[in-house]
Amino acid sequence: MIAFALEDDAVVLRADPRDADLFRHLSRELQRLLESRTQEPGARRATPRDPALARLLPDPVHGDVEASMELREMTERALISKKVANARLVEQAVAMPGPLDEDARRAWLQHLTDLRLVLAARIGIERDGDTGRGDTEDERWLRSAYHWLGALQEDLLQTIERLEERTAESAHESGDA
Amino acid sequence: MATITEGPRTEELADSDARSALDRPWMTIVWNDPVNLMSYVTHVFRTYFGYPKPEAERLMLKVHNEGRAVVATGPREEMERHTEAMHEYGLWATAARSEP
Repeated sequence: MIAFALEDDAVVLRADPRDADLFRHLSRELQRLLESRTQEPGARRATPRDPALARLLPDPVHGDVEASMELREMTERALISKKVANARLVEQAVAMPGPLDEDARRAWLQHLTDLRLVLAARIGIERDGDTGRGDTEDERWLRSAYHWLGALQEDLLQTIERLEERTAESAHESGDA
Repeated sequence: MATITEGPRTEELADSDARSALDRPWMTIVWNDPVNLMSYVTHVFRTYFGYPKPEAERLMLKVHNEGRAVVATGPREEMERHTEAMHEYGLWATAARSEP
């Protein structure tokens, strides 16, 4: 189990070893995928051929291929570095669960999103309402991971919202005093 | 790359119509996708752009229902930065020149 709880005005991560291992596996796959992009020869300007990478690193300018390639050349490497840094930070947190500060919460939300985008691309989630292919054992595994990570992200978002409500309440109380 | 927004301000540019035509030629668009949770998209609009919750929800619903929403307008480089930030969050975003 991986879960988030609100304890003493802090969002606290809990993770048991089994799900921590599963999570680490997915996270490392994502890191490998991102790093493969940096090793692709001549890849810095063109849209990635892999649909999962194309979704992680979208064309940045609408309706202007040349401007998009120019901007990608300037920004893609930094974007990949940030995504890999998020993955590493989250991996460390899973290995040593505890309170998550604001930066760690953002890294979690972004990393969970990146993982879900890749899984969605692998099981053919393309339109609202798609639940993903489950024709093979592998696809069924990826599909259950996709839904698991979605639930995890919703759990984290709700915990953050409760933290914000609590912070707003205590600010209100001290304002009254 | 030169931008018109960094040029010298003249008397004429103080006119609000002229200023909006020069300062605001670009926008950041967020596109609908079947993966991102509605609660997450709202969270991103609140935390990154600082929109109040009702505005963040309005924009999120516009993305969801209409397929896209303009979430910011302004100078090109700023819109490109916002687009990159949206990509950090895993939202599908593009910078685009505003319609004339």
